[in-house]
Amino acid sequence: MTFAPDAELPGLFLDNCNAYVAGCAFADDGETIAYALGDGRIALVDPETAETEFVAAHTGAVLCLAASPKGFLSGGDDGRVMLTSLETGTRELAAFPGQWVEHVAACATGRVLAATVGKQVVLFTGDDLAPSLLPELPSTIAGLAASPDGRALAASHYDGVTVYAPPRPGSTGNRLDGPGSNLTLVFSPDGGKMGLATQDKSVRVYDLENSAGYLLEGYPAKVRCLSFSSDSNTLWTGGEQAFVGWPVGAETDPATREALVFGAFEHGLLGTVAAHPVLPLVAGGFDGGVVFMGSVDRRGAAPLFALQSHRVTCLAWSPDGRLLAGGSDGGPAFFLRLA
Amino acid sequence: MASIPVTVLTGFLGAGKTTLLNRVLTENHGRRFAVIVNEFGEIGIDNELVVSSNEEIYLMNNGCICCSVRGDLIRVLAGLAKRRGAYDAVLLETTGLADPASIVQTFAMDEDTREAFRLDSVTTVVDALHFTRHAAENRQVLEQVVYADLVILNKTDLVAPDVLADIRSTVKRVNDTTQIVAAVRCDVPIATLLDRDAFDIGKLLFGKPSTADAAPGNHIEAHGIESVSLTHDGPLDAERLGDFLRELLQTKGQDIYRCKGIMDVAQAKQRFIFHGVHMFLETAWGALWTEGETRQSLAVFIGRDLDREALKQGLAGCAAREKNA
Repeated sequence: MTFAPDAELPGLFLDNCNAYVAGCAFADDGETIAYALGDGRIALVDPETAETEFVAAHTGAVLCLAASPKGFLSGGDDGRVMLTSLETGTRELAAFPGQWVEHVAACATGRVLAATVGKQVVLFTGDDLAPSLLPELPSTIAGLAASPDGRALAASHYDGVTVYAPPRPGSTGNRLDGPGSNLTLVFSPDGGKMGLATQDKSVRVYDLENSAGYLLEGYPAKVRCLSFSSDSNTLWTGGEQAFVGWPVGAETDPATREALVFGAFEHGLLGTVAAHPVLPLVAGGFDGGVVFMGSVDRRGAAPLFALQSHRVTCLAWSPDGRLLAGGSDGGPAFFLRLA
Repeated sequence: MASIPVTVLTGFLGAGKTTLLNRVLTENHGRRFAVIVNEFGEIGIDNELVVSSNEEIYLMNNGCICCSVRGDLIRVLAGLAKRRGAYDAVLLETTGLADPASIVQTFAMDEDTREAFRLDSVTTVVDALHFTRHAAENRQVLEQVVYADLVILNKTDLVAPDVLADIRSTVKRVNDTTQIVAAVRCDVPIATLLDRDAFDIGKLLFGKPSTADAAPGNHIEAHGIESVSLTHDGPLDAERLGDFLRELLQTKGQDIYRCKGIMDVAQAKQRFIFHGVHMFLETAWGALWTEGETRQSLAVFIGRDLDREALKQGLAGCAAREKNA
């Protein structure tokens, strides 16, 4: 089983992983793509040759995946946190039997490797990446994100977000208010803002530099995905049958803030979104399996191809932006070389 | 994508939920279950895929003070969705004090949950030996019966027939459409529990209003909880009915546990169906009225200290003013 070129779209490679694709990520050198699978395996793919190697990382489902310079960090419903790379294989960083590791986060500098287990954040520090549990938060953690420079780590939970800056063993963090049930959390590339999706069909933005926050509303459905543009001034979100981009730069007057909406797709919600790391482009996966590419300059988006699946579950760009990878709930996964 | 059925097993402390769970799991039925338990108890559960989940009730920021979802359930089911194919159905065992309302609301309000899963049944185990005392001390005992589409009347070998009759009439008084099955050590055929599809709005069950009204009072404290069944002859005005229900649930939703109805709406070829849990209301168009069929509206409200007369009047006030052919 290996990724094979698509007959119609040049540069597209497809494979069926025969399991739920829970996440995908690129190694920092862009030379390996990892796909986390619902049957416990991690697929490691060389995008040059399309060669694929499967590593049995977990015994249940892999629930989450993040790339770090030290390898791919994953968490599973077997309660284990694993670090996997082509060179060293897979090794266990920590095990919490009977619990689920639902979120992992890492940054490109290698400064932060973290996971969550129930109400606690686990940090992996030192040369041996020894685990240390941070003090318990008020409820189960539903989102975890590290700032790109690794100076901050944040966890979302009921009624707020706890920010650890810097993340160190024993730190209690700084609580930011956010009433209600809070879910997916992302940092902007410059580390100055955080986007937070809630159970209540809204998105909260935290401006960390100005200690301000505001709520973005009007979604017909729960927002499942968030991605900041490379300049950190636009927050792309799902939760609509279109791409929704909110101007979140300091120059925008909050009273007149209006979302940029394009790429309407009448057959499904935007379930995953990834802004290009360099160019003003944004990739999105709609329910129904269709992957779209949006151009901010043209204020429009067009479908690229469809996966034989119900939902596109993940999308990720290579660090240089020349490759896009993604997967879906039915098993089909892809990577696309941009000309 | 076919949705995966979820069966909720509820019941007060010691009623026999875990016994029932193990019975389901050990019977030879060829089905693979994922089991969600509140915590790993002392009694072992004989199943490959067991997940422990601590009840986390999250209020919604939608202005509705009694709308809550089970945050833990949303998370655990999303995790189980990643292992699709490893099991055929889900069994959820609640704590003895759990309020099924937030579970029912989770399936109704969270799109991700309702897309991949469906609430198949709320089965409540009732401890015949202790029901009378437990019901007097804890309202939850009755609330669990309110949401049940199946009540397993357990430990029937330990009590006298008149006690059983009392319990049956109380169960019927607070939930006249639930199915009651008597059992000893939860020895019910597994087929009774599965494939019920009891929360499909198109398949809502209705009892006979006349028998429900006749359910006699007895020695069991019901905390003012009762089921009010109403019928109405003559077409209703859709807009007025919508306003009435919204207004009713907005003001009395905290005390109305459930409501459901199949209504005859003027100029509509189909039945108008509603189903509510506290302030959350769901509506749909149901089956077509057939030629020559007597079109009658039927509604049931289950709650605390309901004003039957006011409900009846309210419904009557929704009557379509003139008969347009």
